[in-house]
Amino acid sequence: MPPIPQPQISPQSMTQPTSRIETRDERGPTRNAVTPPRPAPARPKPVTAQRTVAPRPPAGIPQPTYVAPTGPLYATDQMLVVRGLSVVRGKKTLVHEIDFAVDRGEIIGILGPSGAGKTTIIKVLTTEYPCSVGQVSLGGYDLASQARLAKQVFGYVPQETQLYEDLTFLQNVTYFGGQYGLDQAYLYEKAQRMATVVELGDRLNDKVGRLSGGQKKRVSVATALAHDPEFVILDEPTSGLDPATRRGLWKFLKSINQSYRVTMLITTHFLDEAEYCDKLLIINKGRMVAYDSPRNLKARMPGEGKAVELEMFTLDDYVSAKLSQFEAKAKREDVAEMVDRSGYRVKVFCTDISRATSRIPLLLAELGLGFKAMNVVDTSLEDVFIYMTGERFREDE
Amino acid sequence: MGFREIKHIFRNEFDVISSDKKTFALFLLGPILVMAAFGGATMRSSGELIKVNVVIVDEDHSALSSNLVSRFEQSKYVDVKYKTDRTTAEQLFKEGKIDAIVVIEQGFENKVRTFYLSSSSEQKARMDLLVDNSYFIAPVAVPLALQSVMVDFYLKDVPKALNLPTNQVSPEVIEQIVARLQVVNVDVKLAYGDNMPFFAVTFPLLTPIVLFTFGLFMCGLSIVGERIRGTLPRLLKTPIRRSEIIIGKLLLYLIIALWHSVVVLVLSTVVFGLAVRGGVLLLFAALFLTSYTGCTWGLFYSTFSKGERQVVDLQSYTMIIVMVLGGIIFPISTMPTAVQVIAQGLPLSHSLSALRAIAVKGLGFEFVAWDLLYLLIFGTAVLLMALISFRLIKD
Repeated sequence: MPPIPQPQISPQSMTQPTSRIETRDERGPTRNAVTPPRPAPARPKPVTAQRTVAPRPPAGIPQPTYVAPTGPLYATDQMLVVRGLSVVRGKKTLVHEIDFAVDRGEIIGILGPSGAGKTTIIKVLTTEYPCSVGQVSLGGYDLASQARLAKQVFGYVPQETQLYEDLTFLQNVTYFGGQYGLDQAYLYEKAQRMATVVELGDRLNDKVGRLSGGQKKRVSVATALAHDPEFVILDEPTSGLDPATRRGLWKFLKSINQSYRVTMLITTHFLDEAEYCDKLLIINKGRMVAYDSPRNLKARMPGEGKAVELEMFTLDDYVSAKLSQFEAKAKREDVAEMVDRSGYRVKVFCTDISRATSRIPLLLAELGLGFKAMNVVDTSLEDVFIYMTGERFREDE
Repeated sequence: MGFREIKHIFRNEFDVISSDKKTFALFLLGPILVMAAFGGATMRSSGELIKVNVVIVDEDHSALSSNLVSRFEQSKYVDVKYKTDRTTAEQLFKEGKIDAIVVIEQGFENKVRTFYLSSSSEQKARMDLLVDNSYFIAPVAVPLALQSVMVDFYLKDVPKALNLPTNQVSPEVIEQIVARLQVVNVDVKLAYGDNMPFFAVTFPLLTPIVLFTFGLFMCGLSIVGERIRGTLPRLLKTPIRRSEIIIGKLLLYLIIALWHSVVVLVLSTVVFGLAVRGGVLLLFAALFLTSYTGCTWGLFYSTFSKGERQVVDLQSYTMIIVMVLGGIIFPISTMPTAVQVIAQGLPLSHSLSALRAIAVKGLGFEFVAWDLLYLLIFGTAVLLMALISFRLIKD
């Protein structure tokens, strides 16, 4: 299947009111205004068909019906469409005009420092906050009018584990899974399978309060997956975990994503984790900065993903002043587009790397400034963030 | 001991308690509410605190019997609610609308005259009193009322009716007159609770408190417990409705409330010898409905309380106010009219009334139907308030 074209984020799309999103029930021959037209491919298989799970939905819950498009395709493989989302609480606008779409099976990372608006977006997607402006469709359901149906589609892993610590792993899974109308026998079986998947098979009957922080996170993820959601929302799942546990959790999430084609939306303030995502939504101060794959984001940087990094001998007021002069001069001579200083290291972002590597030593020599080493390095997501927002990403927040 | 450290702790504690506006407001307003209830319940004079509602049956309709009725009306211990015939009076008494019946029999004045002239005890005039012994107030108030009524009656009304001089006589002479003028045979009978064990008499007073408190405290932490554990936000992100959470929790607590009611019933009857006169099922219904009101009230507090401290404070103040105004400590009939309206609105007053009627008076469904229905309506109304409150609160 060819990749589904993603809506391009342009200043226009971020400022102008966007079109209404069709929901599952409304799908039909009408072209979806927000998705570009393309030849209609075969309808994708329902995700649940690939899994060995009990039939869904539970009795009494109306199941959305996919209407095979006869005209230009409605993107049935789009799990989430967010258009012109703004959230106003009281007098404060928490997020402004967010636009993005998520394809089925993708892992999307929402990246931004604390207070950027990540949790607000999560709260809208989990129906805790209403959208003040704009429209959100999750799994084909409009969140404003079909919130209860949308809740059937997603599983939620909160930042804090939010589990019953006095209950066992098994009891938590069956309790939360039971809210989706699944029968207890199925949930028992599912809990046992999930316990094996999260490598806690021998702790299924242990009270959650007795588990370590990392184990609780895994129980939390297992609980969110109990009802076989097509979409999992994870709010800073690795927050508070040690690096080894973080890596382990990511390995587990990737395996779930690949095995079951579960779409995931993850907020994080760890830039290294963002590399695991298929796409990144970068937000800062409530505004959307960029939405693309990590590779493409880096490619947008001058130097096509490369930068010149200098390592200085010392960093005192004299050197600092000289570096400011160097930055001004380098920009004036088109040697650098942006210079980022972090401790002893100075990163120079430029379009022409080879020219920069020859000119930078000369410019520094003219200023009487020596340096320890000069290397051409790959740009990181932190560089992308700094380049796009003009601010340093603070992981510690 | 460092002053600075103490100051820091003081400041921090103030910041903590004042950060939750509702709890802090409760700290400041709670004693005002409790004292308002206490003052409202007892704001009349001490004598009126033990005032009883009385129906007078004057079968004689003579001048002397009218004087006696007037003496009752003037007594600070008596509130003459009705003056009617014997049958109606007995019905009112049965319905629990009055605490005592005073019957002045036919020929009262004539018998007073005859007795005075002939000193024949067989001709002594009779005044019968039937006193509700199922509640502590009437047995205390009636003797006090009789004392005040009869002294004036003997010293002023009877001598006047017999044309005896009452002015300028020494106390010794008055004593002699009074001794001679014991012309009325006052026959006081205790209805209900006579020869009953003390447990049976106190049963209607204590069990509503016990069951209501269990319900209130049990359900008070149900929703707030989810908030404290942090599980509520996660739960609300599942397809479950808020109303389903409330009803699901309430059902469990109602099963526990059923158990509480069974325990109270079984222990009271089997172990402590309570003879249920008005029907075991009816008593069970009254006990369970009392628990039900406690449960729904606790659940209501739980829907909007932010923390354990807030809900416990609310529960404590509620218990004090309900006990003060519910007729358990102070009789509702002695409270000012406006306070009576509030008191009659509280579930405990109806629970008390129903339990007295069933357990002590031995009355049937028709006499407690309103109290039971009120408990059901009250509990359900508070449940609706809990549903609305939980819907409005943003978690």
